[in-house]
Amino acid sequence: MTPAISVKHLTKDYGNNRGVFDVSFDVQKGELFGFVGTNGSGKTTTIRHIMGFLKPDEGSCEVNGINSWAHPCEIARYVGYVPGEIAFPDVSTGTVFLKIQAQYLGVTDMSYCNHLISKLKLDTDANLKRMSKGMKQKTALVAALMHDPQILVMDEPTTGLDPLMREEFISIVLEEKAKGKTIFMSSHIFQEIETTCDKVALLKNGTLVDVADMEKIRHHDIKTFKVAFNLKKDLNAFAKRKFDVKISDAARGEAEVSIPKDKLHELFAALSGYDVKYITEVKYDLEKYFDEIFKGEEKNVQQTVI
Amino acid sequence: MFSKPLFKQSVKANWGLWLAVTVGMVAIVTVINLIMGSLDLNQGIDEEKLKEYAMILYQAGALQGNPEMYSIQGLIEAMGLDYEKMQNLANMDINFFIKDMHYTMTSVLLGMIFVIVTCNKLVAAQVDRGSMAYVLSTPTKRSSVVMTQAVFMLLALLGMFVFTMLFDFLTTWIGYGKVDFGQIALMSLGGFFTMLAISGICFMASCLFSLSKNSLAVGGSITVFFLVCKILGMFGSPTFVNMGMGVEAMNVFNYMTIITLFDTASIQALSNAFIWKFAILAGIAVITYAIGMVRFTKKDLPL
Repeated sequence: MTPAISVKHLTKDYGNNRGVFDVSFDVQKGELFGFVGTNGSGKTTTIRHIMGFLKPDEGSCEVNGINSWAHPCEIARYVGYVPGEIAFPDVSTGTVFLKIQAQYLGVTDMSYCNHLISKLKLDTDANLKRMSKGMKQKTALVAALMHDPQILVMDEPTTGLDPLMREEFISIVLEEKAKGKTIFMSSHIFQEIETTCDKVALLKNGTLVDVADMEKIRHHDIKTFKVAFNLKKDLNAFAKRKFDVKISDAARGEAEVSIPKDKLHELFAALSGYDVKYITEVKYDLEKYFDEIFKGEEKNVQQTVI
Repeated sequence: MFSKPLFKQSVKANWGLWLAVTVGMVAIVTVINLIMGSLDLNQGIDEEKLKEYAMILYQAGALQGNPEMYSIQGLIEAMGLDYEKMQNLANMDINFFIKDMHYTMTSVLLGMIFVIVTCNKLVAAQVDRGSMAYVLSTPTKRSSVVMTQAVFMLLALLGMFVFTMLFDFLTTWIGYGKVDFGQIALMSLGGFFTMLAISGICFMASCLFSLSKNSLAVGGSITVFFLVCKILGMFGSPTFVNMGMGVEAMNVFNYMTIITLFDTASIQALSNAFIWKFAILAGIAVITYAIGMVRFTKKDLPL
């Protein structure tokens, strides 16, 4: 099956190590694909290439197998786009703006558009320039969704939204996904990506660090617990057991223990012999996952230096 | 190759300034025609009166024993004025002078405000702000976008000059009682071609740059440079030099601006020189618009 979005060896060098370098990944149809990275890591540059606004120095971007730069007009039929910077055209109200967008898109039946507007509780009669950030974001979302596109590309769509609005926004995105749509969204907030996405790509300084499968991260095989002991001798004794133990805070009697899921009973059996103050799970999340990758990379770098 | 919704959007976004500038041009042409038409400006030299003065001066000289001692020329020269220039000044057609000023200055100065601002708004500002993304993320080709904007600019200028020309006809008829349709039409056409060439330069700048400030700086400063050269060049034009208000050396400025290609003198004299000059202005417009449009379809757009 042709991927919905395919980025192949994309390179765009803006000089001074800015840009994107040899980035490759595929977004399969029906996937909710997250794209994370710090500011300036190249997320927006990649997205602009996918939309066919920028010409790659090397490599290519394809949407449904069609080259973005060569045929931006073709891919626009399949893609709804929410730009990172919300700057509407110079028209008076949201209604006028959406009407013009419908004309560009060749949408004559406004019932789906009106459905979206009522669902988002959007007041489109408001003056575009005086709209709040949330209102603008919703208006942009309606503009991107009104022709019911197969693929939705959004550049940091939740930036600047309050938590309530963000939740509402995410629920709409999930609804679109349930309809079988492919959704590609960038963010610099790990948490929101973590809870919604199927796959997450991490970009750092213009290079792709890794594409993580959230399913695997959520159901990580190795669990980590923080265990604290009331007695120092218990802590020392526990540390000598055959578990993967690391004393994290000796003064508070704290140790971290990692253990495969299927051997949890062994840990609890062992702990029953000690005076345990408390035990908490250290959740394995996206941040931790990427941290491990970064540490691994740094180690590799150090080794090559030595 | 043409996007109707975009055209409508451009009309909605730019009609205000268009109207203001057009009203300004109409107001100026109306005031000039009504004032000038009511005046009898071509008095020329009153030969009879001059002869009387010459005779009196001759008689005064005769009383001194030298009839050639005092003359009109001597009197004027004694006042520090050039006799020949005084003759030119007396015979000068002030109508010609004001027409020249009016058609080259009013149409260019007012028109260029519209052109500089609007050309930037049509392309560069929308790329800079990012609002162009909403057009280009729909199945609208870049070539259609830039073609539509160019057509809008062309029609806006055409409308502006046709509108002003019609008012020129009307107010000339009211003011002077008679209308030289051909001359007014050619003058309006000249203004239109001049603005077309200037709009080409501004439009090209707007397509080449993705930042408003750069587009405005390049388009605006080239236009203002041409206008400044035109103003300075006037002080080197034969009209000004003959009046004693100009210096021939200043004529060099006329070769540094495309506005001089709007040859009002040739139009008023009905010589053919203005035709090839119009052709050059049209040529500049075609080339600059073409460069801008081609570049826009191929460049990186930070949307």
